[in-house]
Amino acid sequence: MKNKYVDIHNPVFFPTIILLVVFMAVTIIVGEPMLVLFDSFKTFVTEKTGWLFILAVNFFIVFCLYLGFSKYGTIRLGGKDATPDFSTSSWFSMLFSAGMGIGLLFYGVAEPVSHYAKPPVADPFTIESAQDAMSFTFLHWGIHAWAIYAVVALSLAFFSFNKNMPLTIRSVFYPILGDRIYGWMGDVIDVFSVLATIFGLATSLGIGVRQVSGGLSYVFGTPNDVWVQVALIAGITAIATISVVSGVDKGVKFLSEWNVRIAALLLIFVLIFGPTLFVFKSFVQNMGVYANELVELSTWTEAFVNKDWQGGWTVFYWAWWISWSPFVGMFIARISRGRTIREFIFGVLLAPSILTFFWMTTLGGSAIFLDMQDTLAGGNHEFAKAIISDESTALFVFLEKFPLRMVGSILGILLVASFFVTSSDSGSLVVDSITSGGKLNTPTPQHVFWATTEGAVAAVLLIGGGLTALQTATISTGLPFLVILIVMCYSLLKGVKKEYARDKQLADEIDQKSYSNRLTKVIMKQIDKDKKP
Amino acid sequence: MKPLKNIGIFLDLSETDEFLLRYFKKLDDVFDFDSLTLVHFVALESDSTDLAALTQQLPKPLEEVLEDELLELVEKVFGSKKSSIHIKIALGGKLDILIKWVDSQQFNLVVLGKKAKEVGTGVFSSKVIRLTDSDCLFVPEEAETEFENIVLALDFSSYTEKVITRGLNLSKNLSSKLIPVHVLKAGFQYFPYFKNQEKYQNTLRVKAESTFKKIKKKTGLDAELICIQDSGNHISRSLHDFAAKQKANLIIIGNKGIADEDDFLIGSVAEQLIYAERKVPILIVKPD
Repeated sequence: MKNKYVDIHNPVFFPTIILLVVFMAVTIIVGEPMLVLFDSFKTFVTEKTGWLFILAVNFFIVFCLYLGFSKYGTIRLGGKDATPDFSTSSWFSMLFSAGMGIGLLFYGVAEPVSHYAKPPVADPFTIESAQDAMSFTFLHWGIHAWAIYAVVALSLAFFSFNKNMPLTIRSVFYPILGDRIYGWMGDVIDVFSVLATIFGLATSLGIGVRQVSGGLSYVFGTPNDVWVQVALIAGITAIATISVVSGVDKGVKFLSEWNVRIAALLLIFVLIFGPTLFVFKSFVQNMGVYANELVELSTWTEAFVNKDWQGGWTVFYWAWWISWSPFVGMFIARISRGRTIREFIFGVLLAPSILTFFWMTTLGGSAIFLDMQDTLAGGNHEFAKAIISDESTALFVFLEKFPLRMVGSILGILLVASFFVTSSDSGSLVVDSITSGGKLNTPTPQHVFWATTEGAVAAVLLIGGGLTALQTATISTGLPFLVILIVMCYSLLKGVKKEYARDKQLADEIDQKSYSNRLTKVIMKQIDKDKKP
Repeated sequence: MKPLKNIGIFLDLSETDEFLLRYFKKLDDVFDFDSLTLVHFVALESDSTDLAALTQQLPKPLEEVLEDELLELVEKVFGSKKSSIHIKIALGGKLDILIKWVDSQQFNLVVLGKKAKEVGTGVFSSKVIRLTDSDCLFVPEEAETEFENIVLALDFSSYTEKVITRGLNLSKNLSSKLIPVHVLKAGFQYFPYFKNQEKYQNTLRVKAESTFKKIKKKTGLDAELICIQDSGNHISRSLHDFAAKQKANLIIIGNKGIADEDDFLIGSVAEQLIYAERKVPILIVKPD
């Protein structure tokens, strides 16, 4: 369907809308029992398929490393003669900002402290649990997350730049499905990727708005309940929408640039006024421990302990990253044209991971350090307990230990809010692009429609069951998309192998000697003919 | 499968060109193609200064000179110049760009010649066959312009149906006899599980025949499958020898076999057929 107001690909657009409406209606109408259902479904998926997530995500790393080190690493995205669109340093910072979303602000302090206070294996509040806390945080935010993104982004980049196909998930399946990707099979794949993106995004928006509301209530004493959060979603979505409609596209660009700068400012602020030396020391140590324990950490499945720690953390993260992956993947693909596969793999796996590790050490590591200091001075882990009592206020409790706490907290709130705006905006761009069949310039009303829908989904999920509902939605869309990702690896490998064989074939020399002779003959004939008259 | 309407023929300024055009004229009489495009790739070595100097002396661009040369040949073979014949001269020496162009033309068939005597000149043709997505007809210089018998090489991979449909399509116009052939592969024998070779081949034959029956029904092919025993040689040799014995005028084969990896642009049997065998023309069916 295409007119002034809409430009959509019907077989993707309408199933997505119907599924979303049904889901939202059921959540609102059923109400309380839905929460119970959400919870039991989440438990079921994490308990029964948790091992699959763990195994698959590790497989993605192995797959990425294989591609990076193999002969296929020399293939250039965009063809032999393509040159990178961005310098390596700005590519790195853009990669980082792609993953540096609301999650880092929400979990930056909360996660390490939570593992330190409620560790899965060690005793709480010990040196051991502190070290484990950093290792588990690194595990969740490190190369595993980026391997998931790398698989999706590399597939998208390869098939759209090297094979000239539309930038949607279905294109990636061309080597397996052939022209069938333009039929119902492709539509199903795209519907799943849109749903995954919307729920992944809704989770981010949901936790973002919880943090804004938590921060406001912490700083100004405003009430912190679901209705305030819903009102905030409405308000912030409206701001995002207005900025898009009024053609202030620059506003969003401006915001996303300043997001990273303000985040960097916050980081430097904590670094200077916090335990500076400790941060540098522990950064080095944490990296070493992470590297050393990587295999053990990433294959640990709580097999010999009877806890449900992993379902709430590791499996949830894996599902979250997977459901985010079409969104982040599309962004990474766009900025990576002209890189070789080898550059791509190591750039995407390592650079943003290391920056994230530094962020986590500075925020969460410092929080743990401050708590340990408190205890040495006679405290009883009040600081850590205050942080974990509510994840949404963790950052603000932490910032209270620093000078200019009012400024720091307000900066934090604004930062989360503006991350919300940019995530919502770029998210709706991606969803819009997939539901319109891979187009990039869709009409504004449609763009507004998706921005609003995302806000609505986040709001409904919050009303229908809070964080549990958000997590359930993420995990349950993450599961089918996990299968899509595994098939994607196979498809990418097939495509890459063929590309390599073609490149090699083109590079082989043609026997030219006899051809030159023949060409000379034709030219001489013409010259002779020319001379005669 | 689309009917043969739009054909591309690669010419290289050698004697093979005339042979190819004559071969094709006969097909044109039957099929009356909508469009014949003669493609020539100028594979100029960048460091060949002699040639460059010669080109400078030309009164008109090299492109036009070559076009005239090919037109001359067309007139010689087809009588007066046919309006359905187009000429594409690819300068610049970038084969990948030419291949992209060829694929964008949606040729139903790309035709390449193979010289009978000169060794090593097939490099360019085999390169094109590998790189293009269009079906390719590879014609050795000794080939007769007859189409009495057409061998269909079947391995029951995803290409098999396409091979049969192409065969049916040709035989309808050329009233050729179709001979579907399947080579039974002996397979590896692992110690200590040596199977009785004859029994094993029989099982394979029964399996092949039952699969063939289904495909026959689906495609409407009316011919019996011939199974060739594994002779220990490469499958391509068995196929080619059989075709030569049957006085076949064409072998139709899928781009890739059932066992070929993604690393290969064309399968090993098709590859060997175009590389080593010199008597029978080969039509390689590519994926859609």
